[in-house]
Order: sequence, then C-alpha cells, then structure tokens
Amino acid sequence: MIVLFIIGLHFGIEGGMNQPVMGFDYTLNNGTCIKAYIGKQDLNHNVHLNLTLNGSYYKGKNTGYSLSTYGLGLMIRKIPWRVAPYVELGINYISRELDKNKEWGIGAAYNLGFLLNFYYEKINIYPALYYEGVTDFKAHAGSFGVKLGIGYEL
Amino acid sequence: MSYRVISGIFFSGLLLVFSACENNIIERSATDYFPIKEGNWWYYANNDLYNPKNINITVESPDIILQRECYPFNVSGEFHYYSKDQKGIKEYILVTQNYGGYDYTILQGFVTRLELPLVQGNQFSDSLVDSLDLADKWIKAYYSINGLVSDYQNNEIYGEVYRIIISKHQYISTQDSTIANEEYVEEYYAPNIGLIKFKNRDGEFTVTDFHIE
Repeated sequence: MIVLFIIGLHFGIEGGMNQPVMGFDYTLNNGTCIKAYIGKQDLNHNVHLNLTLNGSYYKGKNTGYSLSTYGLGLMIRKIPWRVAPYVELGINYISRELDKNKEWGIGAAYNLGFLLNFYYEKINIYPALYYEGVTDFKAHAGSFGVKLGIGYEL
Repeated sequence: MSYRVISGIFFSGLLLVFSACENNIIERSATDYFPIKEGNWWYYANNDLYNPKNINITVESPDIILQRECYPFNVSGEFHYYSKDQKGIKEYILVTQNYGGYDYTILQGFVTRLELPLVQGNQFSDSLVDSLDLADKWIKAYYSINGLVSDYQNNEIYGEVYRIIISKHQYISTQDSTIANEEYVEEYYAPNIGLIKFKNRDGEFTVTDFHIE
C-alpha cells in the first residue's frame, strides 16, 4: 500500500520574480518568490495534484516598506503536454512592514500560468509564466511573474 | 471518504478563508489613501447647529514650486500645495515676515505631510529651519511636523479607515521676541477617497460629498 502510494509521488522547488501590476503596483517594486511542492499524478496520468508551500517578498517604493506573503495552496497542472497550463488556489498569510511597524492579515490566493516542460529521465525542468492574485474579497492585487522550477518523480 | 464528508471539509475550509479575510489586509495594502488628481473635490461640514461651517477642498491644475511638481489644494479659497512621491505626501511650507510693507521669505520648502503607505503605528516627522538677515536683525524660522498613524477601523460606508494624529509647530524668533504657533489635527483617511473626517481647533468636520477623478 505504502509502495503504491510512493510510486508516482513527486516533489519540486520553484523560484522566480514577480512584477506587481494591479493594486500593489504603486507601493511595491518587484518581488522574489519561492515555492516547494509535493504531489501525485491522477490515475490516468493527465494531471499533477500538488500541495504547495510558498513565500514571496516585495520591497516597497518607499525604502522602509516591504510586503511578505507565506502561503499554502493546492495546484493542478496538466502533465503530458510540452506547454502545460496550471492553476493554484490557496490561502496566504500577508504581512506588511513600514519602519518596524507591522500589520498582518489573511488573503485568498490564486495563481494561473503556463509551464514549458523539459524532461530528463525522472527530472522535470520548466520555466513558467504566470499571474498571481490575492484578494480579501473586498479588494484584490496581482502580479505577473516568471519562474524556474525543477521537479523529481519517485 | 463519502461525498458528504469531502464537501463538508471543502465548505468549512471556504468559510474559514472568508472569515479569515475579514481583516481586509489587501484593501489596506492595495488602495490609494490620498488620491491626488486635478478635479478631485471634497465638501466637509461640521455638526454644530449653532455655528455651522463648511469647508470645500478642490484640487487645481499642477504647478511647479522649487522645481517640484505639486498640486494646489484650494481649501475654501486658501491654497495649500501638495506633491506625492515614493515616500508619501509632501506639503509646501512658506513662512514670511512683513517688514516695511513687504513680505520677506524667511523659510520655504517641502515637509513630509503623510508617510505612505499607511501602516498602523508608524510615526513620521520632518522639519525646516532657516534664517534671514533683515535690516541687521536676524530672524529665524522653524517649522516641524510630527505624525502618528494611530489605528484603523472598519467603517461600513468607507471601508478600512486610518486615523492619523498630526502636530505642527512653528516658531519665528528675532533678537527680542519669539512667536510660536502650535496646531494639533486628527485626520481620518478612507481607501480611494482620501480625507473623510478631521478635527482641528475649529471643530470636527465630516465629508458630505466628494468627487474622485
């Protein structure tokens, strides 16, 4: 049972840069992001279902200001295609800081993008383009991003 | 797991996300608390039945002062000049002294009026100091401003409203006298609207109407 579960299990890490385009664009400069995930294929080998842990950091246009997010998400991504779409939904802990004064809150996060898949045996390397949004259901903000990821299938 | 259990977990999670987002961190982070654009206007009124007062603020077309683009705010006929940069809102300060029928500029410059983005607990301060030799008498002027982003509260109409407490001090001193002026203001800023309420020595004023371009 455990062996069956482990077969098809994969994990990976991604890192990239975000450029705020909506909401955050007049207070923040570009940001960096990092994401780790673990997941499994569906039985028909059509999609990957991943549980993700991610974090991002944006430096403010006001040099004393910064915004950080830490998130947990669920990602579905198409696998057999060279150019594969993916979508991710999750929840983010968001903190903003200006000269050591801090505010925090929770936001719902979504992420839509495309990967360009390259495979070498069990290793999957992919650059990706995406839009990452976050909302508190009253206002929303978003960034375009580019990232590079590497995954390994057990 | 049965369908009921899965849907129960899903909807509980969704409810948890909705309730967690009530803190409205995105509204506070991603909206403009000082919309500065030509044509914007705000009308304020005090709630004093015996001494009613109205104040109108209109943003006029941009001007250049000290090589800096700024917007004239016509406050019921009195002009204040503000400019916006990456650190916040700057206000143009001019201190003059009348001598022999002429007004001489003792001090002029821009001070930080509001540090942006607004974050609870943030304190900011700025000052200007200068002097002028006027008929062999040195006149010194000093202007300072201190601000505190005191707190924020959720307002049903305006959303997440920040309260800012500001104190302004101005001194003009000569060899034999000092004229001091102190002012304390409490201001309330709403997302994408700007100043919705303020309290100063003339009373408490609340926005009655506004137009944002």
